[in-house]
Amino acid sequence: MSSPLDNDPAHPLRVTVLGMEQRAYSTLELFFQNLCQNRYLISGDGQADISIIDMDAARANELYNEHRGRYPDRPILLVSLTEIRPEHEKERFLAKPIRPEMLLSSLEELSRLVHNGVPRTRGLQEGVEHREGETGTGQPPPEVESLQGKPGNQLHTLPSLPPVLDVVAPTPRRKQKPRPAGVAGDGGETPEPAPPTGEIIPLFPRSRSAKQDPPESDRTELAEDEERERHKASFLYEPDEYLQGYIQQAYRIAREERRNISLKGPWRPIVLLPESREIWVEQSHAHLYALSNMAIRPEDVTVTRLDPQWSPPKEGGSLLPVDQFLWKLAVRTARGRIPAGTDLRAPVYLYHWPNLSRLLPVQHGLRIAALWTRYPVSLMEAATILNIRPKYLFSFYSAASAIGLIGHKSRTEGDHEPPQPPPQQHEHQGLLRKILSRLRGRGR
Amino acid sequence: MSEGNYKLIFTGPVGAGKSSAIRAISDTPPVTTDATATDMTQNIKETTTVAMDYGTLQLEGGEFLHLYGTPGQERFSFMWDILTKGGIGLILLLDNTRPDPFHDLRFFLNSFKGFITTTQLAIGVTQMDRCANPPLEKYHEQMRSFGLKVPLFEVDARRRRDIIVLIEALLFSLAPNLKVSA
Repeated sequence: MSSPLDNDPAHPLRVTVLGMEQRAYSTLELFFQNLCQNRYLISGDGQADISIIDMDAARANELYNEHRGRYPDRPILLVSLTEIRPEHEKERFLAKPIRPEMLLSSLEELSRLVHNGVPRTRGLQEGVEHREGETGTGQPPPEVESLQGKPGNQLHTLPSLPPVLDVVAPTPRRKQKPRPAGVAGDGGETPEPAPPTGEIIPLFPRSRSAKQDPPESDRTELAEDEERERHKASFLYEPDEYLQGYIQQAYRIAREERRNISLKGPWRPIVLLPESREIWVEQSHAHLYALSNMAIRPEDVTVTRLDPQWSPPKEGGSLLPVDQFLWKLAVRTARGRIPAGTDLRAPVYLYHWPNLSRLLPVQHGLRIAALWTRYPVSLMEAATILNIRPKYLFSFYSAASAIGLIGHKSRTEGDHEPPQPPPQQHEHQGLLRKILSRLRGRGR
Repeated sequence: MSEGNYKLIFTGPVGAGKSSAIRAISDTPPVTTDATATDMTQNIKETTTVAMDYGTLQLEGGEFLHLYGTPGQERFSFMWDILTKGGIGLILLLDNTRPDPFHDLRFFLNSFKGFITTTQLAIGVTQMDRCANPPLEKYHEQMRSFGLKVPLFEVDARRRRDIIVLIEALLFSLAPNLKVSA
């Protein structure tokens, strides 16, 4: 039975977003429009039912205090990389990276606190929980669980999910023989027959959500490192948690097997065509790029082999070079960060120049490419030599790494070789600067 | 290199886009020495450059960068040494629709070997929208056999932006720590 207060698209809950950078803001906007069927609507500060505040923003505390002072009764969602314990009863915390299902869960929880705790939303989250049950994870998120026992907070009997969320639904995995990470059908000791079309391929064999708590004895040490970790978190990211990682893995499999591979998840179908080095996407590129910063669970993604005769439909969707797509996606996902595990002190080089006339420009990209194709130097040395902010190097590194152009010299290896001389000033440095300046529309 | 007069050389086979590239960035309408093609070239285009293309870029302080396009036909190769003297670098344009673009690549790398050794090279591959094969990766493989790791991009010679990216890459190859003052 539905309630007149159900949050249907005709009566969306208004959400104001504060302190978030433009790209994250746009992502959220698209998320509400596409995956929430407009059940939430971004609105101005004064009209909003719920507020979201990015507590990692500059002057976030000031922003929060001012906002809370103005709207003492409004439910607020605080998002941050580091845990925050809300002091106000109408506040909830959501850890970054923001996962769609957790965002929905938090918003639904907060929506129940709007208008004196009377629930308004139609239970999008319930659908997600139902699907989690199918995969065996079972328990609803703690926030939801904590509400279910409270009077007035019980969930409604809800209609079925809108079709778009069916795409999000995880597909149960088939049992498979253990294989190296992400590589399906690559043989092993005994040759196997060609993998059948339609078989689901595991990309990330171990669920990332299954990380165990560290033993008690390690916790003190971890606590001591907390500050360092917090700093690291600001420039490291895990490509595998995002669309970027899924496409990279799927493309690697497609190339190894020389098969067209389909990738399904919280997006419309994507097909990787290794023969032509292209990617076919049914969705608009803008929508896909907007998903770049949204953490995606492995359970929500399926990868299948396609019939070798498959070809892109003549109408709908678009084809583009996979390097071009991945480069742009990596730049958008990295946002000035580098993949976790990157050794900042290991000398880096490029196997060859990226096709920079057709790739999304990265600030100082030409200079970085010129340096790394000739001088293997570490990320930190490169920043010093080029005298640029590390975030530009990090973006370039992440994008070049995504398309497989980055090579590393081990530091030990480097010890046996004479150190590379740093690039010298060119004898016509002044002239070159004038030409560059002229090409860029200055100095004539 | 004489003070105040600097040269940038564009080379490549017939029809690769040298004239178009110079036209795309020159301050003044380029001087061309095109003539009606009477040899095999006429199968490719109606006119061809028999001596050279010439354009200019005026620099700060009244200096000029002279843009020279070499004639594409091999029989004019005697001019290449004269043209490259004092040049700051070489832009090589290759046409991906030619029967054997790698033969062109090897030919021009060998022809300009001395010049490339003392300066720098950047390569633009044209017509890739009409013919995607060979892909750029195959060019890179060819370059490795020459021990060269140079800028190599897909370009449309008529697009100013593409030619500028190519020249900028050449400049940064000459001096990676080159920086334009803000």
